[in-house]
Amino acid sequence: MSSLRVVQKTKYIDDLESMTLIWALRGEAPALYHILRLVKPQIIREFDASLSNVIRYGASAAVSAKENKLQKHNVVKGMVDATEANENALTDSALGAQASALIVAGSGTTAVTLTYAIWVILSHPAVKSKLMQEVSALPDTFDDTMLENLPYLKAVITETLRLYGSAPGSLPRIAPDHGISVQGVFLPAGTTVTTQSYTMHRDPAIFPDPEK
Amino acid sequence: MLKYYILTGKRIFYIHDLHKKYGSVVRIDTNEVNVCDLDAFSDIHRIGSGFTKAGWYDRATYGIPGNVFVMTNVQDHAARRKLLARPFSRSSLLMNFQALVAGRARLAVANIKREAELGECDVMKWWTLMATDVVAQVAFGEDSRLLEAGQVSWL
Repeated sequence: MSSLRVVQKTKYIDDLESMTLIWALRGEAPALYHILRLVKPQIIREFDASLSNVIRYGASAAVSAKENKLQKHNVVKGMVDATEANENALTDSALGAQASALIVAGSGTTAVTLTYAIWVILSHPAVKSKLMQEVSALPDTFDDTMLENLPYLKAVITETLRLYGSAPGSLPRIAPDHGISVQGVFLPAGTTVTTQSYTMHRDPAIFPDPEK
Repeated sequence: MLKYYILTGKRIFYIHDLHKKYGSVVRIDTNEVNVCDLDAFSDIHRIGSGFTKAGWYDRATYGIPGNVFVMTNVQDHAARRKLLARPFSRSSLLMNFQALVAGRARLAVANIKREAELGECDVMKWWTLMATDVVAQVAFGEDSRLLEAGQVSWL
């Protein structure tokens, strides 16, 4: 039973990865997506199957949460309880979609940031030894609050997020009716305005010696 | 030109170089401008700015419409945030998931150490398994044990 669960879980991760890939394609190059759909429909069909698997998984978790089958506290259950308390209830598929979105948002981003953190600490021996010194002073029974009170650890984490955050690219927005003026340049309504943290986090006006 | 850099995964570096060359406002496509300016950033991204998310968000999460990342209607978005606020509050996270995160983190680190001692270690793999175990529990209450299974297949 437990190995079966593992197989299903691994399949779920595969499906999530296919889904992320097709999202990237649709988001960044919709024209290419449509060409692919015409030229290689079987590839798109496989991606669509992955997508349905993920959504089905989310919806079934939502149903289980409603029937109180899920153990412990979790977001789906929390949302079910909250929607039952006021009348505009979310449908099972909306709950499933929300929970799946959280899984996508919560796994890759964390893994990428931690991987960069390890890399950056290992490539700066002075940082590594200072950090190890701070952390080794912790008692064996440390908890989250104690970790949050370590100034050097905190600095290493925020610097990692500044330089190697996992969403360094654009956050596209549409300019409203009144437009916006930036540094004397007027951008009219309807313009897609993007800001990328990769550049903002390296702005020498904000961070002197931005590459550390 | 921009599409070429996007498809080769270099969009941010291309735009970064444009900023270095031309300053804080650069036009990157027929109807798209990239801005690097602190005041403008808060004008654009603060709540109630009037700026709405572009079509990219819908396209980039198709199949799960109406999740909190893509909502452009201000009232809908506020209602959904309210639903999510309690499970994601600091006290709720600490009370319900601190032990889970600590346990998964210790196991991930032990696995990294074991693999590293054999030669090479794929650190990203273990962090992905750890983060997925945690978020599966947080979102669905599923007792996910990918770290024990020890593998994830990459595309």
